[in-house]
Amino acid sequence: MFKKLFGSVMGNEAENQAQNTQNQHVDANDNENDEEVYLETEYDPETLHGTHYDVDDFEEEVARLSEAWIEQEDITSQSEINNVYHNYRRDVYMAWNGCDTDQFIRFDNRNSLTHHGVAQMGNNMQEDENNPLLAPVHGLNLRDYAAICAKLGSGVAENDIYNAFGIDATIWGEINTVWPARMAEDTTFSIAVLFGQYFAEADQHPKLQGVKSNLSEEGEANLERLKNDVHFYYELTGARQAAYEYGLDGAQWILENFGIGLGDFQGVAMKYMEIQNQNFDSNYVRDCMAYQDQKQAEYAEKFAAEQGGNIADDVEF
Amino acid sequence: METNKPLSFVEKMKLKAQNQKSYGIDSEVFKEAKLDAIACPNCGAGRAKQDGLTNCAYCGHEFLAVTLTNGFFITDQDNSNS
Amino acid sequence: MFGIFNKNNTNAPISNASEWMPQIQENQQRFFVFLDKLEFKIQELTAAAVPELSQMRNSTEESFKMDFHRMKSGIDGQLENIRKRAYEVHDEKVLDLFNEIKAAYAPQGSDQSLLNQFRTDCRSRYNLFEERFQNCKAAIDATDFEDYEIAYQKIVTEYATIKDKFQCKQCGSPIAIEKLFFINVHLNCDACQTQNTFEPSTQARMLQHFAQDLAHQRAADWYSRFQKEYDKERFYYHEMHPLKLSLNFEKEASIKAATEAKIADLEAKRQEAIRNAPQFKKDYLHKKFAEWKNITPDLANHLEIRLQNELNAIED
Repeated sequence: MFKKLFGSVMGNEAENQAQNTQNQHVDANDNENDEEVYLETEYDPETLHGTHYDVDDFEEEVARLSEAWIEQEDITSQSEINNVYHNYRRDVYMAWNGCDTDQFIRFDNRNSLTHHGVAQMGNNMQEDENNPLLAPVHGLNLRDYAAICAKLGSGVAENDIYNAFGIDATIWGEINTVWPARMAEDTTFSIAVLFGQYFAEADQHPKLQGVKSNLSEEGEANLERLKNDVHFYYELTGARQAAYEYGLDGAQWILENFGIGLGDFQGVAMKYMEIQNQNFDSNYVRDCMAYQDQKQAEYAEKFAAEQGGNIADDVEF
Repeated sequence: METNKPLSFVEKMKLKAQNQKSYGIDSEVFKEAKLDAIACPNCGAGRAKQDGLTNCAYCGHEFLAVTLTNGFFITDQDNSNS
Repeated sequence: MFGIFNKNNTNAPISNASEWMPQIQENQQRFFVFLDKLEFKIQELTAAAVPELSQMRNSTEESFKMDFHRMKSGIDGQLENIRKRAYEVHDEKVLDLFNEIKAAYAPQGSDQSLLNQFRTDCRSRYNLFEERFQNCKAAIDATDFEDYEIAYQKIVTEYATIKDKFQCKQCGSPIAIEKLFFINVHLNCDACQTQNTFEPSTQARMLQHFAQDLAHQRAADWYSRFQKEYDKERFYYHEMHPLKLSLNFEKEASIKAATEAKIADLEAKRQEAIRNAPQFKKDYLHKKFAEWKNITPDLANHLEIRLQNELNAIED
């Protein structure tokens, strides 16, 4: 009966619009009625589907509504068909779970591969051991490759890194040709997402533990702060952006002023991206962007002063 | 003569752009092609194709601590037989 | 007779325009002058920067052109700075003023038209600024152009020069470099069997990184053909739209028939463009990948997989 109630709510497929969110919440503050209970939707931690319905019923409902609309509108293009499914998936999910769009986005991000055929950062992707695109190249797997890329990007001596992995420059040249080729052949973006995950964890790679870091003491401290202080991360991201806008090599500026190399910085960026996708919250994203913009403007003023001002400073209203 | 302000602004920007160090790029990075052969650092023996790339055929010194697979030009046939 | 149309009818709204007109006139004038000055700056900056940027981008010196990229970023930054100022002043001195007057005075009738006209005129002038800004931006962006045939030719010429110049490090016998390598490769000496390692020059190593750009450049005519066909669908759609609307009001049968015939003709052309565009895209991809394989033949197998992926992604 429960699902029939929701099913009938979605009856007006001709208009293809979100119905009133049918939720299990009943008036929480109504003290007059003892039988009313506040029930918060529980979500499966893996799929982020509500636990109060069968996923099969959900898929069936989405398909039913989508196919009816597709037939009615005589839609033949695959991309438009995918769009119809996406819209009904959103409508049914939000109605059945009584949730906001942020929750739907978290759900859609989590199931990106199934829904859209492309992988996304933030889902703690696991390797498919049967995927030939993930076979090691000259004994180095994707995690090894990502770790080397990250370290090379942070200015550590090449030979130190090659030695740590038991290779030489010639083997590296082959690996650095084959892995990017694999990523380019992968239509699901899974290899690239896995690369990103591993890149973010590069400093934990066992083979890099013995490799001398080339960071100064100040650099080490700032990198540690970057990993743990999200405001500091957005400040430096804004600063780097402002540096580029003023004709400076932003990555070099960060290195000279904070002792942090680009590879290490990008590793931290990947980590924050994963977290943001996993716990998508549009208000939080907006606040972060606003903070970054504010910092970018502050640093832009500083760089402008250093170059003698902006070209149109003498033009007033 | 009045100075042409935007031109000098652009000239200043050009100098700024040219005089900076680029992140990660060595000024001496542009190298010519070369051909080299590296002898075994342990016993001084030369290396031949049939000996494979991973170990020295004479003293067993390990050049590469990995098992080679089919990469680009290098294949699993290039593993040394030791 | 009844005084209904008497202009001095006491029921007519009282104009308060005299209280705010001077302000909007002043702001409008100052806004126009402000934009004039900003436009002068962006045009002067662009005119000065374009030749410098072009020269830096196509310098024959060996480099990664980082000086060009830094300079262009700096110029882009200055253009954006000016654009932002125009936006903020329009917001504050036009839109905010408009809203304040509307809230404080609630102008009616012809007063309302005057106020709206102020906003419209300023908006039009602002749109003109945006158009001029975009032209300058396009001119700056156009400096980021490289003829990849030049870089390729340098590599090919270098290869021709060096391919027979190397000798085995062990015994001195000549070792021919049989093809253009872009990564290190082990070459065996036929005379003494010593394994030598050939390390390509830095510029030869760049080949695999700009090969796709060069292949696209060589297939540019095919790409343009696809783009033009693709754009036709929207073009014919927009041509048809007003004709379809006019049918709603057209009573004259012969004009209706002629309009319907025109619509049918445009629709046929639109459908033809929809049919052609995917095929033209495939033609472009075939050409591009054929060129790409020519440039880096060692990547041929990999490139074939990518080509098939791209072809499969096209909806017919």
